[in-house]
Amino acid sequence: MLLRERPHDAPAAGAPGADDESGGGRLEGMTRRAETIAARGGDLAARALSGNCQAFLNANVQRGAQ
Amino acid sequence: MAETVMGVETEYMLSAFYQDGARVDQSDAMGMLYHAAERTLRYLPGAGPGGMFVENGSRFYIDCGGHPEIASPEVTSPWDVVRWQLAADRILVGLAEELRRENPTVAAAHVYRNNIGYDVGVSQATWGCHGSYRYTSNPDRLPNELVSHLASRLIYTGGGGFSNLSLGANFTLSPRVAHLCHVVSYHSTNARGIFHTKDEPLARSGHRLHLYCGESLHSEEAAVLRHGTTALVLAMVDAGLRPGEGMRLRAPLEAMRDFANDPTCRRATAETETGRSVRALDIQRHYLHLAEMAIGEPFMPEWAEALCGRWRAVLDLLEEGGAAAAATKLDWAIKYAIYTEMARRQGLTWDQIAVWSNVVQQVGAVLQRRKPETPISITLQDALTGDSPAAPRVRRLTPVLRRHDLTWDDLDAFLDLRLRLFEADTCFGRLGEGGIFAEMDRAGLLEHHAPGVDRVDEAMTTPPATTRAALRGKWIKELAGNRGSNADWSGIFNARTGEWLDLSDPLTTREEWKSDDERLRVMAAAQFGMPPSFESLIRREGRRPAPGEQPGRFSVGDPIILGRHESVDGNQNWNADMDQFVGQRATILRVVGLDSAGCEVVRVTADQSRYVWRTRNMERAPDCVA
Repeated sequence: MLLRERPHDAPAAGAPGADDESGGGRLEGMTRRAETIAARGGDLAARALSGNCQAFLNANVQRGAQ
Repeated sequence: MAETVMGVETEYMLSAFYQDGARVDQSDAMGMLYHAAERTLRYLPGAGPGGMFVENGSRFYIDCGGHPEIASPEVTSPWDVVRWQLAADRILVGLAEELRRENPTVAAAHVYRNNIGYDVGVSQATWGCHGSYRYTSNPDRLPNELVSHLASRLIYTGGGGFSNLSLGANFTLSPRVAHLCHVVSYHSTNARGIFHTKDEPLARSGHRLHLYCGESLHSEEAAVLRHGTTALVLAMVDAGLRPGEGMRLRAPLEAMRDFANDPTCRRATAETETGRSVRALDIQRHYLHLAEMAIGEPFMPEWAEALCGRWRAVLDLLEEGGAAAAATKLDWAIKYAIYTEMARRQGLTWDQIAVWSNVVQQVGAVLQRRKPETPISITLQDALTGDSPAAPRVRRLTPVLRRHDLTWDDLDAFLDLRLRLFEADTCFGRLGEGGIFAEMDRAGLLEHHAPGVDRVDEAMTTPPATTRAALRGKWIKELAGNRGSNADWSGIFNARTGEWLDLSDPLTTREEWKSDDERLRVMAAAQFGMPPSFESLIRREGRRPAPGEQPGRFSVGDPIILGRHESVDGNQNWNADMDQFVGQRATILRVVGLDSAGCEVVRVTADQSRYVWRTRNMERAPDCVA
């Protein structure tokens, strides 16, 4: 079977390396986004919690299946 | 280009509460939900396996264990799998809302799509999300070619969370991994394996790969990759290639556990059979490379190139930055960011959590040996009292804590964080209002949307156009409410004409109506494939036939008259609901094996496959006596 070779290091559209950000800039951007997610997600989680975790978990115990 | 056929079955958790805060009994809640479905959905009842087939081609049912489940219609691209899975989510949320409207005493009904129930020491529930893929190669070839892919893909398909088998709170990329104990297994509710050998084709030809090592995902990108990459590997196997060659792991289960415990995705390694040390990323790049080389070949689907682009992008992302890089995109990485912050606010790091997890696991093991019937989590703090049976272990562990600048006074903070993490992880997957993922998405914080996953509302009532689901949906719309008509994966029975629409080819778009007799024969074979021999069933179950048992008298498709079970050694294996079917004519759909008394049992059409019936108490239908 004839299989086409494709260079291993060619970035696909949308992949890091396909845009014009420098490596350092990309990493900084990633870190910033992760910090934002952590802070905002942490706030959202804090608001979502019931205040009585054990009671919440007991009330939501169910048999799973597969 | 080749057409791939795939789909997904998703288990949901429903929690309903009365106005006074009391939980609605689980079976009552399921009854209410099913009633809501009967009132609001356009559907036909399921012919063999029960439940209902709805107008978008999917199947809704209450699964064993008492939870709602939706199996998507058959589709031909991973983007469509996700589209119809999201449609299933919205159908379920709508039904829960309808349940609440129909039952004024019910104050709330929440639907969750999770992987783990945090009831440590109680039931240790997991929620399945099984991928299905049609293939044609020899099933025996698959584990060798697929297992390394399945063990390593969790770096982008992991649902994230914690093990509910542990007293600790160590983060894992894939909580399902803790519930896998074999590389290859037939079982689905215990002794699970990475690779599941179940093969019910639900079609007149080919096989169906049924994978239960995967997890429910809320990130569209992750879900598309989960289904797309696996379908591409399978397409290569079908074409006779050996994509697993060179990447077979010496110990796949151990490798999977190590990969699941490494949020950097760059540290954990595993050894291949040839002695190479590889990371999950290396294994995935191996499969990706082969898939990219095969793009354009007739055995690959037309979407292969687009999928490989996404595949490469996510591997590059993880290579570059691990969890932080994927914190807006993949389920496990989003969770990791949030839970790291929750721990930080509690004054704990993951390293300290690892120490505490080890410590409480050791103390808990001592307590459990003394009081095996007591849930350990409740009594853990008792360990600190002087007369506790765990006191010697507590004394031995004190220097360990000290080495990490921790004291027993910090135990409460850890236990509190643990419960908060478990509740947050449960709420992450709540569908609709109050769901952490849903709220983050609404706030525009995430970058998980996959172009091509769109028109989800339309998919709630419209079947995919590229498979037999299109005809199924069309005729469900046409026949809904018609008494006696029913549906199955392999066909539609039209009670108005007494004819059956043959859908045993998953890709058919042609309407072929057949006689009812032909229906039973084709359905039985299509639904369950060739039945296993009786000898193999006995081997599999390790049971011996009861004295006088004559297994093998009947075959799948045989018409029979149902009879009441006689007692065998005091065991009747009978349910009062079965009385109504005694004396009825039915067709055998599946030979199940031996029941606990050693009697051969089968499933039949008359009760929609609900009960098992002993063949020793049934007769061949009179017009078919040889």
